[in-house]
Amino acid sequence: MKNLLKLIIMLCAMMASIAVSAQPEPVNIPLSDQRAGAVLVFPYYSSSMINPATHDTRMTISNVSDTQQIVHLLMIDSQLCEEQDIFICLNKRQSCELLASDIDPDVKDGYLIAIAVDSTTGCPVNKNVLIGGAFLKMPANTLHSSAGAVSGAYTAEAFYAKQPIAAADCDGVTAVIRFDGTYYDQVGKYLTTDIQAPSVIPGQTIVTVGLDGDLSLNDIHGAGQSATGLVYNSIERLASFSRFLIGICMAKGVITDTSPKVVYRLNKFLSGGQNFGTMKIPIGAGVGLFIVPENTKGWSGIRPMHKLTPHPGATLVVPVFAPTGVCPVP
Amino acid sequence: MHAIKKIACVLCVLWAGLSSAALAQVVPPTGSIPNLGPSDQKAGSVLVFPLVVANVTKTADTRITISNISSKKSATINFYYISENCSVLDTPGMFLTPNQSLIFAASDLYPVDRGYLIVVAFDPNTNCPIQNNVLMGSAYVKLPSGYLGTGGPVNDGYNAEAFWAYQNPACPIAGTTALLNFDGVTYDKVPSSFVVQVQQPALSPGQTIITAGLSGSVETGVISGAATTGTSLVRDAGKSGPKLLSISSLLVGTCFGRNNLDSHPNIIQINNTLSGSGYGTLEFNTMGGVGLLITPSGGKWAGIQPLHTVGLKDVTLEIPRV
Repeated sequence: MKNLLKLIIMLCAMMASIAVSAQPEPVNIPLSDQRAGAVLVFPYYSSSMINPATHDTRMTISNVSDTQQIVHLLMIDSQLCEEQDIFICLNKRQSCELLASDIDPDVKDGYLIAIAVDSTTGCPVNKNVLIGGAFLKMPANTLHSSAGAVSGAYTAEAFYAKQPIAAADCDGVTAVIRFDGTYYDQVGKYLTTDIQAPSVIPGQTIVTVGLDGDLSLNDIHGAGQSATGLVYNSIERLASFSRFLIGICMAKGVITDTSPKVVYRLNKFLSGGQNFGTMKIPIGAGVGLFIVPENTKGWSGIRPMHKLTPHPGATLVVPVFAPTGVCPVP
Repeated sequence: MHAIKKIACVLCVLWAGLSSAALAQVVPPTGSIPNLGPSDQKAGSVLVFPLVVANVTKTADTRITISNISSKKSATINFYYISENCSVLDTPGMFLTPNQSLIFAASDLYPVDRGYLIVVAFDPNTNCPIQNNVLMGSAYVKLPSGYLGTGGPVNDGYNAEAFWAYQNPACPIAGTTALLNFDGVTYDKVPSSFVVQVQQPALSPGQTIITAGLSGSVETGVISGAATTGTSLVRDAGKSGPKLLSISSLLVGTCFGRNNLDSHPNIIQINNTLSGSGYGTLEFNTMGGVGLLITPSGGKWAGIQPLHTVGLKDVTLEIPRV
């Protein structure tokens, strides 16, 4: 009996050490939502044609340079992972406001990628001149059933282009954006955020979007959870979970007592002290937001997910068109 | 009469030229926009929460979370709370084991005040700041209607700015203070040039920019970096042709800058400049700090956003080794 107990303890210790050793340590990730870049990603928008006054997203893109810049906008619907696109012309220091209810009405969950492109070929260019910001508002029970209303703001993720893309990477039909740290900033791989027990703050939601694949074939992925996720409670106890973030181009995980499913269930696991913890989630390749709907505690809002480590080399293939006539001839 | 008109036109052109020249100084030229720098999405050895606020009734409050996201390393952290009037309250020696988080409300630690919080990773043995890039932070802010002067209530969150340490800072064995060199060699450089997307104040009352200075001495309370330097520019989105307004004193103060656009002396001109599109950008420089744009409810859109950075600066901050 004693030997059995020892064996169990040893196994527990081994499992704990495996879980700990598998966790990456943080690295200095350049990707940020506070600087200019050549590719912007707005990780979430939502709109309603019937009631845009209470359910809409306002996205603003600015060109902070002294030269004109054409921007290729790609909007991706989370349901079918289909993309639709349009060009905008931003004169020097010009800004452009986009209402989701206008450009993509009645899309419940979508995200937008904005790419600085060449005015003649439509190929991506290394002009790190774009910044973006967004405001989101949604009525109660819209983000998901039982969620409060959402109101908050975020700034777009900006990917810095360090050099022009290789000539072979843009053939006039498609272009390959290499998020490898050599051409463009790397995307996130291991994301983290602090959370509250769902019994205290209901409706907390993690939204991730994928930035790997081929948009010209509607094959974009990377949003879903790629391995075991971890949650730590206030006394650093560890629980692991799987299948919390499920999706291809976009994944949306609502934090409830049973999701993510952990031993003791989440409310009990996070109970004691101030009912909070930290989640660490590996995804395929992408970025994300943490959305907290309005609640009785008064702590709500939208924040970007922290990034522990980057993906070594996601690639995104995008369609290319010559943006003829997009910018008026000066 | 014609001659007067001609002179007026020449003056206008000259003024426009001068404005363009001023603009070139406000925002760095294309190509010099930096890639690396502090960020609200990564871990670091120094965290800055640009806004910490609370009142007696707790209708204004801030909930702060600080996490050690390493699975291997512990972290000892010191807190430096700097109030709006630059008085300093330091809290030494909080210890975070791997994966541990701290959570507290500003109303518990810093009641009836407004300011910002700097969190620094320390070596508990030498009492010196150290390279320990394991800290991340976040905050939720709630403000009642009218707290900012105009505008409705505010409820949103933000992430703390994280400064990565590239090496251990030099720290003499003797001495009661240490220097945080934000020079890109020891720690990330500090933002100093900003572009902020704003709405026309008439459409969105209460928009407030706050900045937290990171230059000077926490030891003596002589901290600067929050105020704007030189001329700031208000630029219409450009739908109906470019409109530009240069203004002074966008942000005043030393350690902490705060400006509700509605209270700026040039609010009429700001509204006029942004009237074409209803939105645009603000471009300004400081001597080094971080900040937030707060858009209260009352207009169509509300929330808190970090400021976009287009230029960085080397600054040094002296901190007590408490």
